[in-house]
Amino acid sequence: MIFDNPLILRYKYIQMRPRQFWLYMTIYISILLMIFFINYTGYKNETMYSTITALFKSLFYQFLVMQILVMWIWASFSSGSAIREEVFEKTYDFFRMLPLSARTKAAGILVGKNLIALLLAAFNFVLISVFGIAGGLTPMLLFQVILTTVSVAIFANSTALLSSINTKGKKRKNEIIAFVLLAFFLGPAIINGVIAMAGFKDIETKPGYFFEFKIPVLVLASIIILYFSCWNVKGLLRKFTYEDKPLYNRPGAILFLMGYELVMLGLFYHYLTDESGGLFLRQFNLGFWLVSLTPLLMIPFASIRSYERYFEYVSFSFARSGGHINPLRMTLYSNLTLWLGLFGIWIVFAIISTFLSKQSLGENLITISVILSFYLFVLLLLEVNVVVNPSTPKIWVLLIFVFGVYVILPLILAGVLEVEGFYPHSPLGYAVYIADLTQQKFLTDMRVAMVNLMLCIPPAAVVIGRYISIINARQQMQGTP
Amino acid sequence: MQVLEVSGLRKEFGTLVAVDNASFKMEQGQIMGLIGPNGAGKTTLLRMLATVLRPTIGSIKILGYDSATEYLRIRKHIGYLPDFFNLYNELTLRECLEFFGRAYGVDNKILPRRIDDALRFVELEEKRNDFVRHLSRGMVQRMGVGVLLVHQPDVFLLDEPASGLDPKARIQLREILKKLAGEGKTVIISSHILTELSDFCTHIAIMNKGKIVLSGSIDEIRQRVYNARRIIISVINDREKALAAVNEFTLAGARLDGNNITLDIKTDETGLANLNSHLVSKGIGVCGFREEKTDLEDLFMELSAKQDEFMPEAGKP
Repeated sequence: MIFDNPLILRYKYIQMRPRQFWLYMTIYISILLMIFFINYTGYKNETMYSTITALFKSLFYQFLVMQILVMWIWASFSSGSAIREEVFEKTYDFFRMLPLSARTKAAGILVGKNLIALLLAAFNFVLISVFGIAGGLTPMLLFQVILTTVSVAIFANSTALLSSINTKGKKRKNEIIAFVLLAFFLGPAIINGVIAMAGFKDIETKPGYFFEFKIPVLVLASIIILYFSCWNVKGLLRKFTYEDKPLYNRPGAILFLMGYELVMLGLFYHYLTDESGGLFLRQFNLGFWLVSLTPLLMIPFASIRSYERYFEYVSFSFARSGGHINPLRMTLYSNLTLWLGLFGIWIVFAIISTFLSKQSLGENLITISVILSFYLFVLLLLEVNVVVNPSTPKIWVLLIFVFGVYVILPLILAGVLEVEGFYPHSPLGYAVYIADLTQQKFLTDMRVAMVNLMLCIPPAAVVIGRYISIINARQQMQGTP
Repeated sequence: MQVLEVSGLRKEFGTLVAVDNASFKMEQGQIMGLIGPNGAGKTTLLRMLATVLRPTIGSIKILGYDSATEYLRIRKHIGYLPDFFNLYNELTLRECLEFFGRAYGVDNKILPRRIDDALRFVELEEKRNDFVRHLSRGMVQRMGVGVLLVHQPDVFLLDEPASGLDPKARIQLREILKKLAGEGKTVIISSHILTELSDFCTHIAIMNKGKIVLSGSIDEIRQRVYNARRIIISVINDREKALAAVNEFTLAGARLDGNNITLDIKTDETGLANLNSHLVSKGIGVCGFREEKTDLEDLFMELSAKQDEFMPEAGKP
């Protein structure tokens, strides 16, 4: 029984009070009546629809938009605000103390916080199905649309909840403003997306490629979204179990990245191996690189071993080794090794895509090494924040400024001095530079890499200095752990 | 029966050692008052015991369960009241207790009775259908204890439960805590208001700079701090003669204050009986003979005065 979950029961008490429940129902029924009235008038006067089938088809899309707004935006907003509300209302300690499994907590919030949204969504699905069939949609297309809607909703809700854990708690007013802004900007985009989808003919049979498999594009998209939703759920379970630990542990980060790269390779495979691709193969290869690099910018933030963890590690090492620890071991334990290891995984997939697209391995290895030099500098800035933040909490402001200068200054210099050689020194400029076939030169690549490596020296010195200071501070601390 | 065992507990926040090498045991029915200045580490210790915070090192066993691996089991057996908390404002008191009861796995059949008992215990029966948001701060604090009672935990961890309460609410809360003590619950309670604790605590632990500098029963602590028992003898005649007789017998440097002779003496009950007999044999009319029980406030002040002995780090930057 759904209400066996105490969290769902609690949300039921809060949301299903007659006054609140009927308020939502009144709004919903008013919207339904308004939609029916406008469309029926348009049909009756033959100003909008010439046939009853066209009317039903239009109603199908209108209710689909409403469904998307309910399930993707409203429900995600609710899911994402659950923990924030606990923190803001000062009930979070009680919530954390509940002897409930992580699964019960996650399900309790995702279902309980959205009870009314789910109720409306269930009713909407009935209307969507009826109008879809009456509007001439095939059952297969209807199934695919519902599958996609549900899978994106699961992904959006789990992502919203996951990103809200460990929140500091913001004012509810800010949340509502954020929600209104989100709905304002996303709403038209969703409506346009659904209209565009309506314009596609045979979308139910339009194939998407995954390696050599041909799968209807909506089904393929749904499966991939569900795959990443599973990772979200895994993340939720981890964060509800080990709240003070990062989202990814080391094996988790590696597995996620490998899975991601494999999925992306599967999606690009057909295009990378297309014999008739010609010059486009290079663009597809770079496209794969760009997409496959994205998680390398995200995972480091979600896998950070904090300064406190470093201290704990040094404490344990001290206890084991009798008071001695080599700074090299500290470096091996640090975030940098994981992040560079992740980059190593990306290199493997980048080389595979290079082979599949029959590009020059030598040239691409040079490009990879330049990308590595960019990445190393960014990682070092991030690690500086990890080790310096406890003593200088505002260090991130300086680091963001440095990063901004790093990205923008070469572009400004290239423009002001009219020297094109500057712009590959910016990560953005380099992305443009490698996309341009006529530009790439070995010497430019080497120069960019060398400058990046020199830029890495100051943050590397700070990081190593802090590692040593952690070891020294541990030695000077009173008492043994 | 041993309920709680803490050994070598340490919590570091970077270079700050919030709790350092804390070790103690508690038996069923003991009430331990956790006292110490701000920043002593009381809240951190309680949060570790409540499994909300992970220790850097050391172990906590509650009812034989290890907090590192069996924290979900432990949570079923403890009731933790944080220092700053609120309850779910949009629920009524009955709904709130039902939610916590369900979450803690209380059988549906006995839950209504538990809810009634808890409301009665904290004297909020008449408010059962009111929303939590309509309660006063003192009522919320009492309701917080009620929430803990609904699953009948074996161990209560109460962090400054009386802070921010007016005198009347404080008295009501004290009565509730006395009732808990009367029911044989194991309780750890931190508080700045030491007089609150002395009424019902069987043990105290004094924390400073993350360390438990002294712990034990109140009498044990008192003896350790004062290094003697303070005896007050009331006489009806010959005060000077009585003082001389006391000093002759005890060599304790007794003082005369009106008709009372005060002395700090390290002795047992037999020694006190012998002193009384000695005075009577000297023909001194003894009309009162009692031991002065210092309250926790005095004890803590005395302890602070002797900080070099008990709190070597206190007051130093």
